Amino acid sequence: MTGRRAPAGGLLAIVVMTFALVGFTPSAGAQSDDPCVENIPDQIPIQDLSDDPTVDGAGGTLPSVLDSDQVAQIFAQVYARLPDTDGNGFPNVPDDANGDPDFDELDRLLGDPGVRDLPPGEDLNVITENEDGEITIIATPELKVLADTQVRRSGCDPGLIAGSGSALSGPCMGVAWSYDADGEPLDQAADWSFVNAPVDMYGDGEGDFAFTSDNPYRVDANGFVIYTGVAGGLEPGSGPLDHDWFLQIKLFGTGAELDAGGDPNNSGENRNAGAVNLRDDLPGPAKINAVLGANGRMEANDGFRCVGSGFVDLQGGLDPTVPGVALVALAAIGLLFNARPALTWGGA
Amino acid sequence: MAAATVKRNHPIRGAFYGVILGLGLALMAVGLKVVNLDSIMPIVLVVVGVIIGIVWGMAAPAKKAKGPAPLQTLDPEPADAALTSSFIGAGDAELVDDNGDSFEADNSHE
Repeated sequence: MTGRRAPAGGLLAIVVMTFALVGFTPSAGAQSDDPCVENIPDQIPIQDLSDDPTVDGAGGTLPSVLDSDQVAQIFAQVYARLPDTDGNGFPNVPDDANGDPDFDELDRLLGDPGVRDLPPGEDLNVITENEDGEITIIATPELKVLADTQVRRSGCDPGLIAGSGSALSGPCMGVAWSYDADGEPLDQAADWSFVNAPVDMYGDGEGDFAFTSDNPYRVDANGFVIYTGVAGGLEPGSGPLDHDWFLQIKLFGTGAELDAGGDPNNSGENRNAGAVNLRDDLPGPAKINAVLGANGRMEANDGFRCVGSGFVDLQGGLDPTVPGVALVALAAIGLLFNARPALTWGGA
Repeated sequence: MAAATVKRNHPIRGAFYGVILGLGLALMAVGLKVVNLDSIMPIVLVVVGVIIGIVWGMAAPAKKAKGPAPLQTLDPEPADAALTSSFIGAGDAELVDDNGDSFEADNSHE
């Protein structure tokens, strides 16, 4: 009896496993719909990618496309401090006593990565070890899967430079998570390739190029953005030295400088993570619902140059549609009753 | 003699309301995210509004003249002259004041 039941049980197990691994695995279905996810991006020599050195990025030692392990390790630096317990790919944001996003704690956690004493342990994203004061952060297999998807999408069709005003070329790569005023996920874009434009990783435009005029990066005027990235090279100390940068907003076809700066960066720091608090830092008059264009550039020694441009969809602020309708109504009344030609009595 | 009407255009008023119209359209287009703030389209919309306003102020259907056609009025200069002449024509009559004293007609007001 035992000898006859074992093959039946084994067959059942095989059938179940087959369905589980092939038929009912969500990722299997998703891959068939997304050719970019199916194809592993090729590494292309950097010198073959830069078509216009006056516009495109240059320099550094980053490859044309980062691999999954490299991206997962960059992710891990953020997820170790802000774990993603929801599994939606967005780092959890600390709350204050009122349940609102705690920006002070966010700045404290992300402000100076690498020097915080992280508690040892394991979660969905990282394994943190603290041996003799030496903190080691290791990406979990789940985080590597997330990174792998981003790498495949970001490196899809390397060398294809996106149109519609979006670009991020050069040895600067990273990811940005956008949250609304309540700390809920709003948008995510990542760029892990030297030449390609950033790719949308969340929402309706997932898989498309991000920061384009058709698919702008969504930002809440009272929300915040968490970012992390790498510049120059992957090796410690390979960051851009003596760099200058500027950020412009494009208004009515002209550029207006938003911010600029620079740093000797003598230690060659090559990674950065932080949060942009739009609720407190964005001036009130600038909080309008509109699609804005922006561009920026960073240059440093040894021919280092990163160039970026794109569109941001600012939400949650003042809606100019309402005063617009009021002005149109006022103009219509004025044109009808006060600006029409008039006949007056006179002459013979 | 029948009174005629004269058409008066309002290009300045039209331009003023055209600016308001263009600003309103630009704000609506930006708010609805039909256009991006980095493009020159908002400015183009304001210019288009001004053009529409000026054209409207000059070529729109004219409002009718207010009120009834005014009565035919006489030219005051000939009327004065006629009165004067008739007054002078009465010079042969004796002019007396309230006390019955006669006096000379004073035409210095002319």
